[in-house]
Amino acid sequence: MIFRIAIRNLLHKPLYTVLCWLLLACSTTVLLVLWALNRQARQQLEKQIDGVDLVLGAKGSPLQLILSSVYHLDNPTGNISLAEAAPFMDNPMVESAVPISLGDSYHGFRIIGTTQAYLDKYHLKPAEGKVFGKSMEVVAGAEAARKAGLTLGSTFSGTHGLGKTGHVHEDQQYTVIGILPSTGLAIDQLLLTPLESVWDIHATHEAPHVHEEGEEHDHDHEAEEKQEAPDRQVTAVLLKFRSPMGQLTFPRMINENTNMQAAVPAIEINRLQSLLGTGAKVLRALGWLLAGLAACSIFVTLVQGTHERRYELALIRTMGGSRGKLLLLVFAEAFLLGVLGVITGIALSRVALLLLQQELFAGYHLNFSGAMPLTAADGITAAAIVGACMLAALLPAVRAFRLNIAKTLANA
Amino acid sequence: MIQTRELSYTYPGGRVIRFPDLACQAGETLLITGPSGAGKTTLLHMLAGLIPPANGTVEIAGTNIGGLNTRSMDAFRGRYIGIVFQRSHFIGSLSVRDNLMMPLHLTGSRPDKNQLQEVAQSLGIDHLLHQLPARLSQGEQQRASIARAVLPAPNVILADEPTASLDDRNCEAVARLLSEQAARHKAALLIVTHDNRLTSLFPQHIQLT
Repeated sequence: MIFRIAIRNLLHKPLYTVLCWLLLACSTTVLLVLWALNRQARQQLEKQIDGVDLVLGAKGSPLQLILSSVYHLDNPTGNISLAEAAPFMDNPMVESAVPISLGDSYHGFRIIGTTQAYLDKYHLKPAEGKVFGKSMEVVAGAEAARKAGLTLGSTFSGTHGLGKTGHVHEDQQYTVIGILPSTGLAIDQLLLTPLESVWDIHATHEAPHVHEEGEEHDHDHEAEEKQEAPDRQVTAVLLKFRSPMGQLTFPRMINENTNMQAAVPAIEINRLQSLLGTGAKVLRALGWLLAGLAACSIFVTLVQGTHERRYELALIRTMGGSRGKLLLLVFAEAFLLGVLGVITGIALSRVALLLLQQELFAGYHLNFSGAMPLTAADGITAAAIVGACMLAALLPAVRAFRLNIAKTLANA
Repeated sequence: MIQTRELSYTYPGGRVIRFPDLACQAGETLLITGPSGAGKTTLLHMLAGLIPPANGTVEIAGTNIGGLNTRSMDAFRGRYIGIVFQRSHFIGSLSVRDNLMMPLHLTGSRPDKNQLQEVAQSLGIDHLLHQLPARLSQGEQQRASIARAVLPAPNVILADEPTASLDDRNCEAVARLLSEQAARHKAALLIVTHDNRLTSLFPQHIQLT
């Protein structure tokens, strides 16, 4: 009966109820979406650097080097000589060394010159076709193949640079000989080819071509053209060590003694997260602020409600309802609002994540499909919001409990 | 059914009012009249256990209600006492039907739909049960609050100025219905009023001074 009255009371004041409900739903949505994004971003960022202890590349911003060579987001810092990198790649402390060479793209999907070791790093085998062997053979990532319409046997020409427009290497055709299964990692958006493809394409240019303004310059063309085969260039080398010793000694050795740089992905990602963390903190504060506003609106609604309905409350007492029932009635209203708001918020947050997923994957190669299930943190957030509602109801509830019925009725 | 002995009340200012002893048997009606300020409402609130007397006892159905704590008093009131107020109060968000059933729900007894229908019919409000209370006229509201008071079959019905806000025609009708319902449910009916229209209707009469 008390719950019935609570529900009817809420329905009797639709405007206040909707206001509280919306505020609660919005704050829950913001907080839950932030939790999920934060959690997934961390997980995804960490998953991508799995198996990469150190990245060797041209001097420049270490974060840029990591972003370009591991996450395939930013532009590369430049090229390094494979001959110079070779001693480090062959070092006994190194378990695996994967050279990559960037520079061309197809429909915005990056063509990465590398070796089979790149696929081994992810324990991947083509779902269809086979692994590249010869120059100009391509294994396409699942997303890249789907969106660019590539199937086994398709041929295409690479575009110079990483943008959508640029010089097209028309004289050299890539052939798709394998398509990778979907992984949810950046590799889904890549076109992998042997290092030789990149070298062949750029070695055959007779004259340096005129670059349009704004075009990416990822290769030192003049140097490239003068080079002979032994001094090949790559953009970066992804290193994995056998022991933590390498992690300790390599960065110093490389940064001080060579004109290459060594960047540790774990450090750079932590730096990136602390940069982004401030923004996330502000958003989270906003979420809690909304929750606080929701609690305030519940407080105002209940204080006003219990004042306006004090005769009704007194009436319940005269009809045999105890003081505890009045307490329960006020708490029930807050609880119903809180639970309704939180449930709506949870539903909205999942819809928002579903919509965000596509965008984030395409733009940042982050796979958020794991964001859907609710975690303990979500549960605690939801409980905290309902708790805030109950706290807001405390004063009005106590007022209802202590209501002087004789006085209230006498003043009727 | 209801009996008081040497009741007195001390107002916060220190003024003390002594009330004459009164008694009312099941099925009888007792009219308590007096000018404003004579303590009519105070007496009614003491009888209903809403405020404790300074001295004296109130006995309802064999129980001295002075000995009950707040919680048991609330429960006792729901079970044994029905109250009709001068201006009827209802839970505004509930239908008339739900309002009439409320005391039964609150005291944990099983609401009887047939009985509700019967009482509503005898008071002429059976066609209004689905309405919200605010849609009813004064007279209809007062009849609904009589129905609410008698439905749990209380031993005592206390009416506080039940006819003050009604016109002559409604006044007589409501007073008649009130005593009829009380007699039918074998309850003692106490009417506290300054409404002289009622004195001619009820023979038993106590005057407060």
